[in-house]
Amino acid sequence: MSAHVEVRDVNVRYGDFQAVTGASFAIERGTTLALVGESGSGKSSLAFAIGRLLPPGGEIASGTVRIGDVEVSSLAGEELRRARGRVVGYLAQDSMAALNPVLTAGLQIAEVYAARDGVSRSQAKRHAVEMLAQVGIQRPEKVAGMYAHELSGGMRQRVMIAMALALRPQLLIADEPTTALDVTVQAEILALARELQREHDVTFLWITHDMGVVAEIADAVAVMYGGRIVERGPAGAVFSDPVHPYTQALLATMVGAQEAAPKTPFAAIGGSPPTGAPPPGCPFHPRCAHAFAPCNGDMPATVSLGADHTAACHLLGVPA
Amino acid sequence: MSEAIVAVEGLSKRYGSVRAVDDVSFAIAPGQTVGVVGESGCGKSTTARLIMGLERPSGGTLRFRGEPYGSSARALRPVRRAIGMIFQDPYESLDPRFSVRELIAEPLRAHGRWRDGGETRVGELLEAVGLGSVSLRAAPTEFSGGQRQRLGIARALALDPAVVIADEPTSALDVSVQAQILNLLLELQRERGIGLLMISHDLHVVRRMSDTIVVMYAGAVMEQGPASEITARPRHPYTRALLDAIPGTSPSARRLVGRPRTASGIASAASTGCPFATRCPRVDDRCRSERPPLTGVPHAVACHYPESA
Repeated sequence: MSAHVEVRDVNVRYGDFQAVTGASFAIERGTTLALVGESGSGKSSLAFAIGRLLPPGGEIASGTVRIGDVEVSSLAGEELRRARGRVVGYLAQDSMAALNPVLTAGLQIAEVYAARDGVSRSQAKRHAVEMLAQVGIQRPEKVAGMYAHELSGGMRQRVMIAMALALRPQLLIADEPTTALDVTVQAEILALARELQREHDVTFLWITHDMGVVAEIADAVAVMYGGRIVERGPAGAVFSDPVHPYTQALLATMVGAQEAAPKTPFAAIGGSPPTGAPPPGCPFHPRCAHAFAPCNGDMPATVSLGADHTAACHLLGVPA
Repeated sequence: MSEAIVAVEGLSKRYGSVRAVDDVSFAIAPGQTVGVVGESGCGKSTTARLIMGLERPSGGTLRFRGEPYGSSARALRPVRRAIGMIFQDPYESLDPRFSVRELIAEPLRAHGRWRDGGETRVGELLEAVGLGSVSLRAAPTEFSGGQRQRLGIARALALDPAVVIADEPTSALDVSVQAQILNLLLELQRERGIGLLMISHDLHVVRRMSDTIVVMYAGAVMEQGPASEITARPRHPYTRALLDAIPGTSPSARRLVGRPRTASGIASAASTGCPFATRCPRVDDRCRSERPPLTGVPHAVACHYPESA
């Protein structure tokens, strides 16, 4: 049986710059894959490619993206326009920038229905209020009449979720939607996302740099570094048996997981993520504690570790 | 116990009817760290700005080495020389037109410390923050986020401060770089006996860095005391809420599942009574009408019905 979402061997380019190289993964319907990475990892480029939201100059140079029975990577023109919001939805980090400041929350959600479904204005407005209730907003009629600046960050993000889910997309790309929120509000949004997923079979591609968020939300994980997926697998396996040194280091640097006395040093990774083109060989080798001869020469092959768990590291080619 | 370098007593700041900072007191001693936590808008950054004299307090006393100081430029000069500031965003806080050398020389010049070995001092400072090998002519735009924050720290250290205020110093940095910066702060504190005021929304980080924690909500202190006490045995429902919202560390130890889906309300602080009353799960009529005082030493809590110690 094939997965609900399938990303196969995707390369993303901006002119001469290759932002993503050979990215492949699958997401089962109604589950969440967390795409983890730092700045320059290529996670946003890959997400934009999957959502067909790459800025001018960016392109899927090769590879395919299939969502449900739609090959998204080959859509163009009117087909592509119609796919937005229905096949794939997008939830941005910065809700203040993403919402229209001069339209009420209710009207913005209603517009989504009115533009795409040909429903009447009053029906669209009613749908909007129902959607606001579904995303946990109390007194949805009142909030429907409010503007972005009148809402808290958490409320704005709920309005965004209501808009993104309005047309029941086959895949919802959540691009760090809780990064700018207070930890208390983040907790509410993460809980809401899981609940909506259970009720409506929502499939999430959840982009984040925060392994705590991954722990809470992900069924599967793909870890990116320097434009490549260096490890992916079921969330349980990746957390309990991380194989790639970068994944291991990311987990080790989670402050909450460290048993350490006050004022003792934090577990750290040296160096910083690559800016611009990653180095030759494995992109992580300049920061890797285990780097050896082949690492600065060839990119390691992706090796299957069983049960959908893969990693790309030269250590896996070394006999134990 | 050594004398505090900076102390705030009953510090308040009002903007019209909004109490941005409301009766806050704490002291920063040499080599010690005070961690201030709370959600955005709780008054933690305003508190830092009041200490630096960037805003004028509406009430309370600011002390530097025991002596009260006012808001005049003259009164603030020795205070600003003794307090270094590290900002959240190293991309915004460093002037891109300046070279590395000029960025670090600037505070030395401004306080008349350049002629006397300024050039050597720049080298020492860069060495101290792990940038000993960078070109003095480089522009900050050529640097990574982590390197920029190291430059920001070198600037903050330029005048040999007794206290450093770090306002969310790692939240704009990549996760794999954050620990390096926190370790640098710990090391500099140990070597130089710096008193640190650490403002952060990350309770894990604050617990590890701090000796004392101040939990703020709507400008007021909800709970305050030894770091280990506050995090291991929180007594205020707000501190409990902050701790309960921290994500787990693995999928087998999820902490946030099963929370209610409803938003916790339009969080406007109560104007009478306890500011947290509008969000508190244990609220009653007394909480809505009567403001609980901050009581208890050394672990203080402002709640009519605190969790038992």
